[in-house]
Amino acid sequence: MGASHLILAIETSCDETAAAVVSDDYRVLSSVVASQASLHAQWGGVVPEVASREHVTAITATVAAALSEAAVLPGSVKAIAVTAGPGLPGCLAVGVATAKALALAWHRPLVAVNHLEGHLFSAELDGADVTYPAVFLLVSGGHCMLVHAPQRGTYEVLGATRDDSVGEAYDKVARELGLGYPGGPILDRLAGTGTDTYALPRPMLGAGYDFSFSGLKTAVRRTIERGDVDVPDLAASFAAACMDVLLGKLKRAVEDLSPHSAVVVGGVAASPILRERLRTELGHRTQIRLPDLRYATDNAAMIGAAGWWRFEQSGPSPEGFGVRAHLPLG
Amino acid sequence: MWTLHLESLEDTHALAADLARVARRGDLMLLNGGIGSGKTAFVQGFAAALGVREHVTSPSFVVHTMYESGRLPMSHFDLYRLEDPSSIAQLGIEEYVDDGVTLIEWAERSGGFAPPHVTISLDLGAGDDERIATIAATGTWCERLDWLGEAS
Repeated sequence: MGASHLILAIETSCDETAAAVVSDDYRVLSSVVASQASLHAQWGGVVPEVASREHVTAITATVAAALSEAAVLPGSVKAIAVTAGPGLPGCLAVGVATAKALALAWHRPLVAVNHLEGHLFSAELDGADVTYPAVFLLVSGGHCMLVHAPQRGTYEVLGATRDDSVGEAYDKVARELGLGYPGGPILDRLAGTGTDTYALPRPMLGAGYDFSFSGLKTAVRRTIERGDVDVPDLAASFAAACMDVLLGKLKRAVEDLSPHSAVVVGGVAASPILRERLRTELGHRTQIRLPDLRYATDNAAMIGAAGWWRFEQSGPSPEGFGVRAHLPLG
Repeated sequence: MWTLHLESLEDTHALAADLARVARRGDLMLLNGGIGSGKTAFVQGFAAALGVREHVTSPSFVVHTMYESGRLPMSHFDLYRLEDPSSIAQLGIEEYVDDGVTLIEWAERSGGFAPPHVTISLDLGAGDDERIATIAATGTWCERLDWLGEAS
């Protein structure tokens, strides 16, 4: 323990105020997430202005909790990592300003981290091992992309969604089915009790690596409007269509690129249906890697791991870096 | 008020491009219609015609996205997740309107926006990609849309 170097990581790109202490071999000493979910549930969703103000309120207590849970003093922290984008600009700014202030006060180097790269490192925390070359499927409320990494830290985005993320399509269809909002996880559970009986499209399944969930959403709406719907069966049919597309594209990437591992990260990686089908349909072709459920959704531990990697590769980030709402991967 | 029959996704994009060509700084465009009716597709066509280089996706999750690579700064809001009009007031939308052109999906979820603005309502047509667009204009939008023909 004494020999390892520690990084303090801060993540405020959306509605979670998060801080973590991570060692240079990606072990997580603490990972604190102050979720604003209950606050935003009152509003029905993330309100960017409210979210950034909440980050201001929660940030110092979150950082202090991460340090105290890890039982480290600021003097033991070797570097500070912070999410610089992509995300909500006002939210990112709170984390970046805090990290810059700490770096100045503690005389520590600062590393700007891409939130998407952070997700890719979420499957490498706490001794888990991703073997490269790897293909990553990043699926969450805000993102849906397929990434090829010939080696750690080198990325080629194979495809991304052209309209909705899959998490968003789940939440919208859940609401159309009267399951509340955000109802993605409820829809996923309900799907487990139904049968795939409705013929829904598999948008862009045969075409390249990009995704589109808009047409599927429309097809579900038309089905509901025709009336007399069996809700569990329609949920099962919708989930099957989404999974067919996600797994179909991942399978094609595995066939085309023959990676050593296929890794699914992001909040949708928590879906039991997805986890089960991954193992049965792809487990014999390549190593399947999934993050621990704690690290599937937004957290700072993954930012710490990505931060270590970037710091070891290229040292501190230039002092004048700012937030980038549309920061691309790679 | 104009009602247009859009046969295909290309028609939706073309209508959006026509509106983008006459768009000015300070414009407010309200987009209504249920899920899958083509609101984001409309914004994608609008952005492309404005010269936005980034690929526009649905901002339901993040509520607001800014694009600054086009002829005018474009603010893209999506009120889908916001049930409560007071949460919409917290967005500070009016602070963005003067800076460029502002498009708001699920605009009907708010208590209403002060004119001038143009409202585009989209509904599903009979065929898979068919849509019915209803356009209602206020202020200078009325003259700027006269190429659509006599309003009904």
